[in-house]
Amino acid sequence: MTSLSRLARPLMASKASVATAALMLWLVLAVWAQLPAPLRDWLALPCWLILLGFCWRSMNEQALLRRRVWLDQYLQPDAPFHRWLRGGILLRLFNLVVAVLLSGYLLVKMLSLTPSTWYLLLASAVTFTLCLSVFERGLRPYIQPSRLAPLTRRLALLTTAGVLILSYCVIVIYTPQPLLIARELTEALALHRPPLADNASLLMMADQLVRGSELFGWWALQNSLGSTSSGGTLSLIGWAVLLLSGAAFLWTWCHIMQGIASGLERAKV
Amino acid sequence: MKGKITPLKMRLLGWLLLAALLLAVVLAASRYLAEQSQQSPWVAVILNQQTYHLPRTQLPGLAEAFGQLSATELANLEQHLDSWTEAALATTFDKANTGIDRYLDWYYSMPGSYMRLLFALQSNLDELTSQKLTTYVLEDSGFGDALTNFGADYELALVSGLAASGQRIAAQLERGLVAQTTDETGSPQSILDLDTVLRLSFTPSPQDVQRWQTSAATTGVVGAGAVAMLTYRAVAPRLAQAGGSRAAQRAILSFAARLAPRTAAAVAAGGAAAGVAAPSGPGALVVGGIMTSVTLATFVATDFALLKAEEAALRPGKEAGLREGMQHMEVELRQQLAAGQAEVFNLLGQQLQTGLDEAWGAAGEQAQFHILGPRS
Repeated sequence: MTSLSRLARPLMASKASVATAALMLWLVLAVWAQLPAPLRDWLALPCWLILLGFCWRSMNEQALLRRRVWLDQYLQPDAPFHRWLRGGILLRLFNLVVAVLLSGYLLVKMLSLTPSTWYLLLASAVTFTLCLSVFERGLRPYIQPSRLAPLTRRLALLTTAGVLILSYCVIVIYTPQPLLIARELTEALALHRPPLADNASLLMMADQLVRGSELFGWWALQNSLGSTSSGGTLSLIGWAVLLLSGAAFLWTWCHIMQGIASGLERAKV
Repeated sequence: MKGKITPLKMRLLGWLLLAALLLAVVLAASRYLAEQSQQSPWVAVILNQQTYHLPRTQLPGLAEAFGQLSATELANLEQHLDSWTEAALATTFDKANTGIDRYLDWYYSMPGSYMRLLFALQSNLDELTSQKLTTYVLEDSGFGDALTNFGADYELALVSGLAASGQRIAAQLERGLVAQTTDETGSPQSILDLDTVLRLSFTPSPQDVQRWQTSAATTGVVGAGAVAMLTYRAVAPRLAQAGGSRAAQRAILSFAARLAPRTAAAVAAGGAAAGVAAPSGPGALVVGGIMTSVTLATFVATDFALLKAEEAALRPGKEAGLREGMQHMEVELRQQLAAGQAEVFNLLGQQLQTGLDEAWGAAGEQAQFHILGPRS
């Protein structure tokens, strides 16, 4: 029975391993974000590569699964189009570009996270593992065995991302922001962002940019409240910047956890 | 080979969870400590739309300098406004005194006299005198206009004086800040916004002025409409009272008193002429005409003389009464203005103090904006 099921479907990685790996990554990142500047700059690249690897893997898996299901729906399995459209170097390259951007953003954003968001990420690792476990058990009777593992991961990703983003919204709403009402944007930026040193690294510049965008969101949000002149557009932009930037960051984190699960399955841990 | 949950893995997971929690605690503690130690180095002082980095140790000195400067400036401004009010009121009431002279001229003129008689017979002499008083003293002399403009002028003087004071304070403080400021580029988390304090205290908005008006209660010192209209409305009846509007009966009696000797003189003059000429026939008509003319002319001349005599006898008293009434009003207005001004400067001082306290309080911690959640 065991050997038969092993032949029939790819092995699911152990939930404990997934949780352990996600926690390890969280720890590494949390420690990295607290390091002093020169060390942190040097270690940024390996961290980025790890994140990039998991993110890319997850995105590829999702994209290939979607493509494959769509092709199976309409094409004969041995049709040449089936082979051509299955997804090759082009799709992977595109995903690589997206993954580079997203994981880079995640890494930089890690530098300006509030403690509550760190705890949120920690909790999300647990949530993701729980989702994997629950969904796998619940879906097993209904899903084709070859699709069970990726589909479970996909569902776990969507659920975890949904919960995460909702919690993040609540945190954003409840976290006090620096008061920027009646200030010029440049003034607000100058006051609430530590000035960039002359020999600042690329990482520091990116961090500056991310903090600036967050400040811009706050500024737009606060200065459009009750204003009749801006017609609400500024307020909308403010909310969009705040929530979309957070959502992009959390979405990437969920992809990375899925990448971990997928990678562990590949390594048959 | 399927991954099983082995005791080893569980233990590893447990250790990792523990480590994560530990790190989370350390993280929170380090953030807390960082926030606490933020108190030390720099404060960003905003003045004249420029940011100066000031060592935190200099903050109390700056507060003291600000307090002294603003107290001096406010005291100076109050003095300046006092002398301004003095001069403006003197000019205004000079106009009223000219008006009083004009009114009395009319009062003791022949047309005035007869008009008074006419209105007295219709028993609405009071109406006439108060109307004439309004015309001569309030309207034609420019006294009323001056009163109407006084409120607006006062407000202008106050607001421009305040603005100038604010600028002087800012300039003075800026000189001090430039000397104390450092080139060091720390990251000042707390902000001391002197611009806002100065703007709130030294650039009153229309709402502020309105608030002062209501706060300065009944008098309504500052502000165009209030004082002027109040005073204007109060002036006319007061003038009538002070100007001694005579009861109609007394006017008629005084006229009658003049009438008796007047008629006697006139008839006597006419009779003398008749005795000399005593014509008859058509000449009698001429002589009668002449006699009538002589009688009338004598009547008028006598009446004029008597009127002038009455003027000589009564005008100084009447004038003194009117002037005293005016003076009384001036004193009262001055008192009201002084009380209102004191109230406004009291409010200004409070506003400044509140602004300072808030600004210095905010320099201690970062001002925050809350969408939801507790405000600490």
